[in-house]
Amino acid sequence: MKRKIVTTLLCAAMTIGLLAGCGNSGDSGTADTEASAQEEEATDTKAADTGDMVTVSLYIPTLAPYTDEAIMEVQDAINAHLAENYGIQTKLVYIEIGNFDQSINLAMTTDELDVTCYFPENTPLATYVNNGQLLDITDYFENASDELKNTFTEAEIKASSVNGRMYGLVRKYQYGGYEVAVLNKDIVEEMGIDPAGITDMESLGEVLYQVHEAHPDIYALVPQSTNEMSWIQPWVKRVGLTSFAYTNDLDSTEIQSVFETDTFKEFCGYTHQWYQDGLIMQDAISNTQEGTSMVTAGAAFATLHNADVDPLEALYPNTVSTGVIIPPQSAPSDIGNLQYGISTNSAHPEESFTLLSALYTDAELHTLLSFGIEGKHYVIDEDGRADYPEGMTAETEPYGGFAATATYPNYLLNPVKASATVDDYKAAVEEWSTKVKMPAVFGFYFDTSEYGDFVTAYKNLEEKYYEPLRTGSVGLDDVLPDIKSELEAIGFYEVIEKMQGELDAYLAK
Amino acid sequence: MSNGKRRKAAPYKKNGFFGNLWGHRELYLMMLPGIIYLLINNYLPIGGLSLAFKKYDYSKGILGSEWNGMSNFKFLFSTKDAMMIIRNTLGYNFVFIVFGTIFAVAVAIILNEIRANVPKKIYQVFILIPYLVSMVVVSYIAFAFLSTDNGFINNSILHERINWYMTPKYWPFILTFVNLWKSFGYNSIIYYATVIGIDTSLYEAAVVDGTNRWQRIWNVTLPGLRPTIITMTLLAVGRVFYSDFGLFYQVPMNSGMLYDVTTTIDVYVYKGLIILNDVGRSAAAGFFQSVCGFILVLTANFVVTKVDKENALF
Repeated sequence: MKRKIVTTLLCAAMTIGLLAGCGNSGDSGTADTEASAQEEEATDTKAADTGDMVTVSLYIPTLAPYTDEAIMEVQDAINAHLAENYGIQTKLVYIEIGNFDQSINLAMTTDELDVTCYFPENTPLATYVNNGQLLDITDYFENASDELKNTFTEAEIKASSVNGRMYGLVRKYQYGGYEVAVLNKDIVEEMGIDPAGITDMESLGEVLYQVHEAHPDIYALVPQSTNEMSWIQPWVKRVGLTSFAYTNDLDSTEIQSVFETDTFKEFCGYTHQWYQDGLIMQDAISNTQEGTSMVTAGAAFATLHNADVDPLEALYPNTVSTGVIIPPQSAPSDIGNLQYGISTNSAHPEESFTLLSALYTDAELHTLLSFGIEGKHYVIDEDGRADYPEGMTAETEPYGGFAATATYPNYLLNPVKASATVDDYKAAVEEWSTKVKMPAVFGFYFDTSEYGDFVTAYKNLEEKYYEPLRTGSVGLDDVLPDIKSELEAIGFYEVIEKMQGELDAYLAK
Repeated sequence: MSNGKRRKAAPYKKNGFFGNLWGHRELYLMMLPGIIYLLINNYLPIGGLSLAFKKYDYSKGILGSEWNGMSNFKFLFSTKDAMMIIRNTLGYNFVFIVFGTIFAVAVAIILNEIRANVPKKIYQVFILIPYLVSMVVVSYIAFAFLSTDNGFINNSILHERINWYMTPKYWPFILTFVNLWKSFGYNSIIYYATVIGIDTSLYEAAVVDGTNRWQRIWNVTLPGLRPTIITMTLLAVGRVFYSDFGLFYQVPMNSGMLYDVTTTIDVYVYKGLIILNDVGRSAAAGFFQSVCGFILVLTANFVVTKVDKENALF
């Protein structure tokens, strides 16, 4: 009988254990940065203190390490502030940036996710809208405070809209950039190179050949990041917020395949020649390193790099920047390449918008969210600037937000960092915005919801040729006939023709 | 049991479903965890197959989304890439099955021929290690060999600069080699377990008959392995429309110029999902892979039944 009882208990325990596993509501795969059981417990305790307040989840990608304890501390502080000022609570969900897109897609199928960051650069805004993932916030925005409405420029509102309806709020940040080359300072000084004299690919090439001759054991030029040769280019990408349409330059309104633009041909002409002459690393297409790391370490002489408000020398030690190779400019998708919106499955859309709105207008809340708790995760020095607490660095500070300001909604609300080269973020960004040239096609949107198969086929085609050509690993003349016939086979030219008609009609308005 | 006497096995009585359930309640209770596991992990998700025929709308959920017929399936067949991805998926799997089986069986037989126990155990561990290594790690090991500038092959063997990651013609061989290297250890241990289970009296009889070692392998070991080879092959055939994503995506470092020989159905679907967030298309691809695999297993099993009924799976 005893044995029977033990057997029965064992089976029952196994069954209950199995079912208990099914009931786990944690976000799978995100446990590294999300405060899990401890967080749930504390949230429950907090909920008891804050009566019937609604808790709104906030999903943020991590660009730096965060400890569970630090997230919990900051969440508690934020909730105290929210309870007092807005009558809501929040649950912070930090997810490692590499898994972020997949994780929010999964979370958006349920009501777990309320407010989230998302990247239209990775997944076009129109895709989120066509899939019914993002809530239409137009009415909420129209009835919002003037402070919130005045936060955004017309271009920014356009960048978070599809067919005249708003689906998110763009991150306040400087957009676009200019192109320079980052050079190894030791070699520059040793060879007496004048960095300011390098203002185009021709002059860059002359210096690269000299360096290659003097230092044949290092790479003269490496990609900016992994196999991407550069982040800023003279041709304009993402026309109509699509992934396949380009124009030759900022002024052009003729939609083309990137492979057929003159600017792309010119760029690839230089890189292919340099690649053949041994100036560019031969493994560029399978490179996994950052260009600046190699330049800083002396393994490479130069890498192309985008620049904006902050000088690159402040970011990368032992480097010096050249003159401007491509002037400040922006692609149609640069404004709003990171946005915050509300899931359509959110059970609390009104409270979610309250939180979303507060993130863009409440300096105390935003500083708390992005820098953490003053005195613990950051300090304000005698100049009124924010810095790491004594003895802490980006690696040791437990709440990573200070090192990852770019992922938060409105860093212009934060105190200026001690390391910043400007005195006022807002003024610096506004000044920057006056310099950036927008493409003539900005504001045009092409609906690709009926072209899913084409978009996938094109993506494969572009990935096949784009980076190999930009790194110079392949010559454009050698593969252009193949590219054209493949473009024709997937129906590229028919889509472009239709798109051109819509763009012309848009511009005529 | 409580009175110290073993209870006689109850003869099967026609007590009806519930009567039998109660009569064998201990056994059914023991089955319960397994049944619940199967239901939750293997049967409930089948309902998700309906996604393959819907335009999934996140705001409406699976049940509320609209039906769109076979539209999601066009994704796999509407472009010129369709033939390429199906050719790659089937072609590689065919090669992997044939060479994988030959290689694993050969290693299992060689292991069996080693008499010294300690070296045999060491070899077993070493050949199993690649199976346990993550494909991301494998991709970097491959890179260490194939890097144009610093790779072992270019610098220490060939002494010329071949850009492996830009040259598609080498990759069917490289991927086959990597797959065999990674999987043969695990498969050979399965075959080895069968080999050591073969009745030793058969070998003794063969020795008495004056056979040499090769004849014993050919006439005793291989026939003994036949049922396992057939089972393993049938299982592999059921998955010929699937591919090892890590092998085809990570090992070639996602190099664009290699797409023609490295894009399989899974890689293509992954890219489509990343771009479009459309779970309907992914569900359709999974549905297509499952149905084709199911048909192939039935067909292969039917052929085995005709040739050698005893060794058929069902």
